[in-house]
Amino acid sequence: MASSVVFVNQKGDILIYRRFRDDVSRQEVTNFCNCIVATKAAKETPIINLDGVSFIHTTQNDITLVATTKGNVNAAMLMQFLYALVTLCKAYFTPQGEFSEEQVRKNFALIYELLDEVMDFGLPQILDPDLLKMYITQGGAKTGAGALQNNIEKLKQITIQATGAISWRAEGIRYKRNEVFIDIIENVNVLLSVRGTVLKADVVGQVLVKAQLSGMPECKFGINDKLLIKNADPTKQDRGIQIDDIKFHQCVRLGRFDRDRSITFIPPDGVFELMTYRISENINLPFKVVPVVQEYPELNKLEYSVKLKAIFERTNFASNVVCKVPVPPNSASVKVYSAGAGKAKYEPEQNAIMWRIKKFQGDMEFLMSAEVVITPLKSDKQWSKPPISLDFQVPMFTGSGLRVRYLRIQDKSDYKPTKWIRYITKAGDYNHRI
Amino acid sequence: MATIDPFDFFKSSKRSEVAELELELNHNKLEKRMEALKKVIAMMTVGKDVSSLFFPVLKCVETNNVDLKKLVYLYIINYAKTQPDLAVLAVNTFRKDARERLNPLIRGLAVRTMGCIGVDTILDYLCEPLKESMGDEDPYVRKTAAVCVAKLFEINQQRVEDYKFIEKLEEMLGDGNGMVVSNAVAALTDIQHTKGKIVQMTQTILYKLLNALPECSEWGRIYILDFLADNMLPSAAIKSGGIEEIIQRIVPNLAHSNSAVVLSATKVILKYLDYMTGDTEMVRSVCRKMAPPLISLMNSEPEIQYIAIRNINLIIQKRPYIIDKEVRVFFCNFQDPLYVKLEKLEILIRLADLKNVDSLLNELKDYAQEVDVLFVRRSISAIGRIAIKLDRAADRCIQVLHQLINTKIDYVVQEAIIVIKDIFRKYPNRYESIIKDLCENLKALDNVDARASMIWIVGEYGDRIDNAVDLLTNFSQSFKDEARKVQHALLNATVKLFLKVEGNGGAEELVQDVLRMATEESDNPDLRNRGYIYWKMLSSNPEMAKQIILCEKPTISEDASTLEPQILDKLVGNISMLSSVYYKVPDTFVKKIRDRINERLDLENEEVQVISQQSKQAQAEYVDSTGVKKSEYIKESQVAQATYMVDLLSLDDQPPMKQGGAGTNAIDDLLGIIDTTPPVQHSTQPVQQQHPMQINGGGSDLLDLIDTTAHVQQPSIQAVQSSALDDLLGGMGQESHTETLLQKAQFVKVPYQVVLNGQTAGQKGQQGLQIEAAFQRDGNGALVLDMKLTNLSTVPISDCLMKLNQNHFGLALHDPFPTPFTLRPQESRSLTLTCHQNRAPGGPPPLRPPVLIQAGINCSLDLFYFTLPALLQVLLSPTQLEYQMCSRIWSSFPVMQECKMTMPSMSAQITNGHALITRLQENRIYYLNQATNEQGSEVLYVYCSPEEGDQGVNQHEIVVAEIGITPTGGVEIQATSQSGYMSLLFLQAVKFVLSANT
Repeated sequence: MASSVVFVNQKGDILIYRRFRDDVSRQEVTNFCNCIVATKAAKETPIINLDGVSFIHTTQNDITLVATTKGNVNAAMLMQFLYALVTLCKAYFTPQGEFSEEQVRKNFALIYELLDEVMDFGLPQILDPDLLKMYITQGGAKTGAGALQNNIEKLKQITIQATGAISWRAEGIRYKRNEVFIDIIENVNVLLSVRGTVLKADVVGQVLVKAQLSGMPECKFGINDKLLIKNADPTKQDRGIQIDDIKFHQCVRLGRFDRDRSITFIPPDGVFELMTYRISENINLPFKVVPVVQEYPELNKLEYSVKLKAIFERTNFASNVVCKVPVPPNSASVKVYSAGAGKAKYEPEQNAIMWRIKKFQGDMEFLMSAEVVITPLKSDKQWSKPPISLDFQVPMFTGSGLRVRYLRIQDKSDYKPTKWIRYITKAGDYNHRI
Repeated sequence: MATIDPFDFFKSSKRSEVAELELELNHNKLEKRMEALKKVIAMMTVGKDVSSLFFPVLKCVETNNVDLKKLVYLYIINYAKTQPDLAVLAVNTFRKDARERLNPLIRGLAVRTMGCIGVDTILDYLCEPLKESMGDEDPYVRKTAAVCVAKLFEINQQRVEDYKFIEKLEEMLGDGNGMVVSNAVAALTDIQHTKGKIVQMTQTILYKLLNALPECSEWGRIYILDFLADNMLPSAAIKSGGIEEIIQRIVPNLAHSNSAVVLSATKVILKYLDYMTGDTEMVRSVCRKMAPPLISLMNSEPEIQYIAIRNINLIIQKRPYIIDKEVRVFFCNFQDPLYVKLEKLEILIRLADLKNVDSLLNELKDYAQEVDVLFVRRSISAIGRIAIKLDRAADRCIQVLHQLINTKIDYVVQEAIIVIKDIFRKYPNRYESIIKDLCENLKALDNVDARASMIWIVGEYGDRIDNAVDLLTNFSQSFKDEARKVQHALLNATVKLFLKVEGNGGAEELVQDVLRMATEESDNPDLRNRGYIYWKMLSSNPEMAKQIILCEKPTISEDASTLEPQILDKLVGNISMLSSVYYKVPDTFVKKIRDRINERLDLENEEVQVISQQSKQAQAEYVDSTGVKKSEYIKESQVAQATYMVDLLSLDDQPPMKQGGAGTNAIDDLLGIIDTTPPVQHSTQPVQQQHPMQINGGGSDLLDLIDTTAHVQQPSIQAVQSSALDDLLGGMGQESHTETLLQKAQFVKVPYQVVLNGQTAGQKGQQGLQIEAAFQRDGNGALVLDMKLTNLSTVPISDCLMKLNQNHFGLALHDPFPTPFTLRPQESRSLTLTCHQNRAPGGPPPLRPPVLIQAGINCSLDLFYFTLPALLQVLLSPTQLEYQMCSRIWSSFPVMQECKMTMPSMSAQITNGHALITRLQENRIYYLNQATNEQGSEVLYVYCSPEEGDQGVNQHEIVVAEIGITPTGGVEIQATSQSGYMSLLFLQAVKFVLSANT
């Protein structure tokens, strides 16, 4: 469905150009690069129709990835494909996770080879990095390639796995110590109005699993899901939490979940994201911000006083709390009078006072006050007043109240794995308007 | 004949990078070959021509190393389309690899690659292995073969039918492997795009697919879900309870982490829900399940959010209660990109109701104080649209607007004026108290819409504004420089004011002044017409005029962005597809694949000359986020031209009523609608322009109406023109003109082109020889090379020896060079060298025009290489064929390569069909016959073939073309030949021949 996939740098130069169909010419792609990428008009919309050609694009660091087409294609699919392509490249590049023009130039032969495999005739095929790494070894594990040539059994296994129902796990994995690590990571997104009312709040959580398990283990994962608990025992007191929406890794049997809300799966080997979820009811906000911003236009002065209060138990600690208090860009001098804890300092490049507290004990509150003098501007252009934003990490705390109830693992060899679990809550978009 | 062997001549050059690579490609060591191949690929990607390395690269394919093989294949794919002859040589490799016993990856690779070689001649060799691959034991090979069928279909539909590949794909739907099934589905979908429906959905197929669904990768799920939405099982074929079951099987996909799967699943569910009537409880429970996954999409990447929000806008028009309590999710975040914010605003307006309006207005008020001007303006406009949508919230909306006006920020106040005008139209006589504040907080009115709106308000409430006459007089001072919209508003407002405040001193002078300016000084026909009409009305019967002009206006409503049900259904059926992002039905922006390819060939044909123009055009042709093309704005000027004609008709000093046809309608409407029109909603167009400014009262309505009349007129004009041109052809009769034409063979002279620039360095680094040259036919019909040599160096040039490289058309120089030949510094000299054509097996055919002949000149200064362009008409054979012979050859073409071209105009010397034929025959493009083509218009058939030495005519390179004359005096040419390059060369030559003046 895509006619070509192109990697372009921010000057509009084509770095990678792979054509899958003939209806879009290179000339048309160059046009797009010159008219849109190079002029930065790409920021307008992610889907642009130029002279009958649709360009679906996203920019990651200094690279714009483009899928072109003249047909009525599935736009969301191609966009997801581009994201998956970036993830794939990151997994192949060394150092891992780096995606930049330099890396793309360095690895162009690899990228072409990958593109050949991940897309056929414009149709996305296999984009699973772990799987591809088994047979696309360009530049990487050279020795593996040679070995693979001779091992026909292994090859067949790869192709079956690549196309099969359980494409994410190979047969015959063995561990001496069977262990599984579960991380519950929650991002709290809050938007508070000037007066402190909650405009919207939700928690987006992910369950990361690192599985070091032998064989083909059958897993069942249980959380304090309200619907599940109610199904199991309607008389029980523990009410559980209401989950708005859950998305699962492809290994989870969706039909089974839909039927009885049980989460069953055979895990991939190593680290993977088992599920993501979203909860918007009964959220415990770990911090409360009380900002007071007084403007004295005739004195060209603003006064700030920002109170920060931790609303979790005293025995818990938040770490790396950063409160970003924006000041107008035309600030002439910023005086921080006091910061109850940590350090508060004006950082001109951020246009903000950055208040950093390394360790913040539960149930404590601190106050920061400051005075800002601004140079009056000739034009009466307004200050956009970005919101105060907060960043933090609170271990052993979940904003949603989600708890893991069990993880049952069963394999033919009947081993008893060790299970580890961690909870952490982070700030997502934690904004308080001023 | 020349004495030196052409091959030697070209080998004598210094060893280049390419030659170096060639050596490395032949190296024994695998690593060396690998490195060299990577370099070749690198050069290829930056656009360098490395096609000369085809043979050494192809040799590398003989390896067991998959990595090396892949690189070779990558190279082949890249050159296969442009150098089909070379690609043919790789066929055996594919056949061998596709039958490789042990390694399924190699088999898959071969099947995948051979499908990319769109060369018709080798298809036969590939169909057989493909057939085997579809039944391969390995699923990887099968899934690749499925896609290969779609590729084959694009190259040659006949082959796909001959080998029954479509039936095979349908069989594959029952394959045990999920990926094979989903790729077969994807291939079928692709083929259906070209061919129309081929799969009749049945209960069995549906359940096969539903069973495969959980086994598929994320992408596979999307193919299957999209296919299910496109190919609905007819409701009659579903047993009772079947719909629920189908939906239940799809619902689990809503929990997939890939947002495209979620959207596609939503689409299928929505379509099957349409089958359910009455059963609302069930429908509601399904809808409840769809809401959370859709809302979760708001946490994804901004690009996906954008697609999702545009889709949600459709979904909630279709089933409003899916997302009715979730307004807060669509509140804008400070960090959201602008394109996401603007789409969220649209959703907020749609979701606004009396329960949430307070929090919504607070939100919008906040947005209105941000810095991005566009966002601020759309937010204010949103407040106005909510006021119009919800009667009982209008008070609160006005309050908010009032507060915003008091910020005194210019663009805020101006935008507020625009929306308040609409609010006044909806709720007349309710909020006039705000006018005072408007006037007070206004510093400047630089926005056209704001000016027009303000003028409208003053005209409408002139009797209540003390200084209305002064205000409008102020505006009228700059009448001539105002935008059209403002002029219209001013004209309307002054007339209304005059009628309202009768007897008030200034009003009469003002109205006369404005009427005079509108009728006498304006060159805008609309404005003049309207001025005349007002004038006539006011002078003949002021009482009647008052009744007409000051009548009660129909109310407006907030539904500018609501789609018609049929279009909405079509768009909902396209959720997640581009169609649903553009809000356009697919047919309006998608072309059939065949057309697309033809179009591209045309484009490439023209490319050489028009590259610079094209990029400019493309820049202008840019579609903004709401899918409104810039070109639609451009059309306005054309419309204006067309309206001018209407205007000329009606200005004939006669009462306008007596005009016939479209003109009358327009005028009738003009009278009928003066200032009473509800806003024109473009509801008849499939494309709904999602623009908040849609609600325009007054002025622009008229334009829209005239716009439609203009469209009505255009076809008839064309009809007149085309009939005139029928005569042009008709005068020619059936008899052949060959006899008379042969006597005076007047070849069109080809102008010189600079082929070697004085600044180009030769092989030894010397520069200074400039050559301009062109291949010609001289008066006797002999092929010559006309050259002009200039010595720009400081030393004399002598001992010249020139040579053409072997080439496809066998062009060679008769004599190397006249001797003695000396060119002093700064001297220029023209020469004519006789050429001959000897079609011995030569180089590869040219890929696209022009034919470039490599040449070299060795002289005392240096050795220079350059290329000489040759147009096809100088290479044509004088041999004429019998009509029967020609049509026999033509009908025996096993494959046809058609190319089309349209020339908007011809040389002024070609005044009729006769002259056209004469001109072509003079240049050895011979008249065949005249006929009526499939579209029913008169066309000429002509043919030509390149010179073949002693062998006469080469049947493979005959070009037969259909030439039709367009109504505008241009020509439409459709060239057919057995090889694509000949058609392209032909078009280029004809274009030259027909546009040249002799």
